[in-house]
Amino acid sequence: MKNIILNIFLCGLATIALAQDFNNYQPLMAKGTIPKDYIIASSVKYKTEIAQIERLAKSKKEKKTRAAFALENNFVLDDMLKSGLVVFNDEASVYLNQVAAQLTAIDNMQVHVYTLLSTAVNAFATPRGDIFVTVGLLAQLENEAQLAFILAHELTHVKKEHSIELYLTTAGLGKSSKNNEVMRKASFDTKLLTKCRYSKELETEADRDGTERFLKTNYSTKSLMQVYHVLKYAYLPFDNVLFDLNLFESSDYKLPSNAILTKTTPITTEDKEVDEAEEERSTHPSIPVRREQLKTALKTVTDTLDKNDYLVSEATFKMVRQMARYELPMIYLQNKQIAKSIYTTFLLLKQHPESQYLQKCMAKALYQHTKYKNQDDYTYESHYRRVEGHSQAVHYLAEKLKAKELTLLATRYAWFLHQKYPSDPEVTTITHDLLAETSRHFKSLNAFRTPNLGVKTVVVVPKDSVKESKKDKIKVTKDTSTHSNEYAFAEFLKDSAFTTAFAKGQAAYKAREKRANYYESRAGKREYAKYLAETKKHGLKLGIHKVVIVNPFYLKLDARKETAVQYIATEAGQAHQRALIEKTAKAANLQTVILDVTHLKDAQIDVFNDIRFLNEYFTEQNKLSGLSLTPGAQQNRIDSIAQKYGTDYFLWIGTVSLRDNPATIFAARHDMMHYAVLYDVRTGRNQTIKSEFFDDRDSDSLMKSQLYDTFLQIRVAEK
Amino acid sequence: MKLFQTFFLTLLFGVSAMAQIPGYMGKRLLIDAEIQAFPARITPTTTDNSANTGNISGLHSRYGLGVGYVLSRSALVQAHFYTFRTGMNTVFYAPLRNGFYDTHHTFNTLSGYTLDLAYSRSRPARGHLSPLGKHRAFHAYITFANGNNNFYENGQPVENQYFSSIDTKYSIFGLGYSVTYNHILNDQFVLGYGWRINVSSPQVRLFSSKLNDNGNIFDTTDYKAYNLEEFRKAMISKFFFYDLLQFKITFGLLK
Repeated sequence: MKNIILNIFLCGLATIALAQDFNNYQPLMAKGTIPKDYIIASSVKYKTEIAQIERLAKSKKEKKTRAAFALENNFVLDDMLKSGLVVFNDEASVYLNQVAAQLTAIDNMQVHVYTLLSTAVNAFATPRGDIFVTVGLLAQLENEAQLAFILAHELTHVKKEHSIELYLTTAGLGKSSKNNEVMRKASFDTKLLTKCRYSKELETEADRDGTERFLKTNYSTKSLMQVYHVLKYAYLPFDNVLFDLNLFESSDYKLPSNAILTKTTPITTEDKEVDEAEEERSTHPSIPVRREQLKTALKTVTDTLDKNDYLVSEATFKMVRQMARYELPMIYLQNKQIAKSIYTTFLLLKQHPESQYLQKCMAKALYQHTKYKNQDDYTYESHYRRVEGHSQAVHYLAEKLKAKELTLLATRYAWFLHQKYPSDPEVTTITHDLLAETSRHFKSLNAFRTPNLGVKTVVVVPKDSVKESKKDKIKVTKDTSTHSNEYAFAEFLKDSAFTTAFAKGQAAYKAREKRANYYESRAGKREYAKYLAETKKHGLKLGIHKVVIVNPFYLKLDARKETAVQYIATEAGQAHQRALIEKTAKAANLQTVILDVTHLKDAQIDVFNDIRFLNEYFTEQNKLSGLSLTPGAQQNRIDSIAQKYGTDYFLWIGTVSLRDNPATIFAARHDMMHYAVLYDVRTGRNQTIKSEFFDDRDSDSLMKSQLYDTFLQIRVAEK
Repeated sequence: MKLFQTFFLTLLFGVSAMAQIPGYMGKRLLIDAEIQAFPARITPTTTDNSANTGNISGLHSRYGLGVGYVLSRSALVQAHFYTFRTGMNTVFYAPLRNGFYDTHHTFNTLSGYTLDLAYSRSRPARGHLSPLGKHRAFHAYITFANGNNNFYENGQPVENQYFSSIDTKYSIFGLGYSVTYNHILNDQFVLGYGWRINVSSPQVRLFSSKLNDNGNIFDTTDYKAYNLEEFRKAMISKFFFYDLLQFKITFGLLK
């Protein structure tokens, strides 16, 4: 009785602690102390495993293969853990571990479940006992029992060490001696097919044993078959709702009809015909096969009264799922999947229309899309024809809206938001930049009207009118679209704040154009050439006193070896490079703070999160490299990090060292690549200080020389 | 002017000028010792200063000390002082004796020093930041050579025998181009190696000569003038080939 009361109390406490204000949503973040998995060096973990392998391996070859697996597995996993994409002790991970505990109670298995910030609908496990569940999967699940079923499947992978087994089989050291013989002599293709076949066997085993484990708990089996439904439709958003154009339109302002898809492609409900060749190369059995197997397993099972869809907490599940869904728009945006970001935001806005976070997500998506289109970058295209369901309308809209129309839509949305949240610096930056983008298409506000100015009514001629020629019909469509644009700013055209902001945007755009034109002119080209020559001779002179160095990168490759990445040497090289950075920065009299995920203490959770957000910023900025002065998707957070470290300048620096077999005796045996990119994180301005390749080994003197030169260029000021 | 002040002050005090300056970790002063050598090519009169002719295994060599100063991330100026010691075979024409011209094949010892100024450039884009890495340098140098030619009465040196000699001083100007690869060890030591090609001037200037006529060989000054001119001409060829190509090794200290 005491225990029950305590459990109820703890669950209640957990729910209170997990309470999330979705109007002011705070993204999932690592919390508490940093787990040991993150702190212990990969080489130490590897050495511990090697000691076990020495004892257990039956042959020399097996020892070697197991050691190779342990090496790769430890380093690759740790890289992922430290990437910032894996969060721990956050609301979702705490809950996931609670659900896992329900399943491991029977055999006291020790596992750690982490939340992976990825839109993929997936979960996977490692023999080390780490299970990763993506927010993409969490967003799609219907209840806790389904989550438990997936975790049970992953627990089998951990317990049976499936990934090692697969690795050994590929190397011809599996359990089946017949298979081993085939694998040793087989061609690459045969090896691949055998690997896939064996992988399917392991997945079937994980399904079978996972189901057994699941059935030993008090979870209900009612919704289990639906898990495969979730997996089958994993390519769709978490909901399928007709896209409401009222989100963007008003009684006066309408989106161009040629950008609106009235009939979307229905979702395929039948199981797709399985292509034999595709099936053969798949690592998992097909969903119909898995569904049938589960059906057979559940035939004799009847849920008793004590079985439930929720053993931990229904409220927590729903909250965690909602948080996972809230994570999606920003991840989509970071991956240039703008239409998906808009549609997901729309789905969530239907539930929380006043959420500042979601409205900003929408503004950012429209802003980023505008920037792409205005700079003729079509790498983000979503190919609406491949999309099914109501989200297709958004993909169509995103693809068909012209740069001009999109700019107006984005500016209009941003201005409304700016009026609502005038003190939000992110919204302000976006709005002002969008007003400058509007000036790219419109010289003045004369092109816009308010409805009460007596504009002539736009007569839309029916497209099927027999009197009109094909040419006239095309003309009519164009006219409609133009007239709609006129009302884009109808609600605030008379607002002096808007007209002033528009004038500022115009001035900013003119200045930008003037600068661009100048550098196109002969004088500009001459000045630029002079600048390049001066830079070549003396380097840059940025006059910066303090920088934050984020995750200095080092990678050692040896192309002569079977596994090119030299993990142990890479880890040692990372530490050595860090020491060189400290020394050279001191020599160059540059104040530095090094944020290095490999050198964290367990209490430095804030630094861990800083590194994560900075890395996300860097990845995002690299993807948007053509878009000048774009604020980051989480600019507010980045601004606060800059304030914390007392500088706006963040440096990403790295070295790749390669040893190769030279083509001729005169060719270089060593190559080295060194880069240093400095960002002013408040403005997005960046400067590549170094991006160089050398036919040389990464000797101390070369590294120091390069690092010193980098720091000197940052530190020295123009006279 | 400011540059020169900095340069000389640095040389004077030998201080390491740290921080906010180019160079290796802020060190821009380089003090080095250098050996230049190349197998002797023609008229083999090498490090051997005896009258031995036909020694083809000798070396044309120079030994020097120098200082260098890093001007920018890609520019280095260097000044070197080299010494050398060599010789050359010469033919000495003596006046008529007993109705014959007297022709002596003699060995002319040569020693002296060279002052060399160099301006080196590296390519930072290739990772070569002065003073580290590959440097291409242009050189201007002047060599002062002292010649000593002894003439023995019987053609061969014999103890206590009278002999005559001509001591000469020449100066040769030259231009050179070199490629050097510098490695830095322990942040302090520089190991460099490379090659150098030079073109010495066809104008060798004789600016002093001293006659010591103990053997009464020069009974007329005409013969002295004639022989000096012959020596001067031989010097042009000698130093052209002596300097033409050199391999070099440098051991330096960074300050």
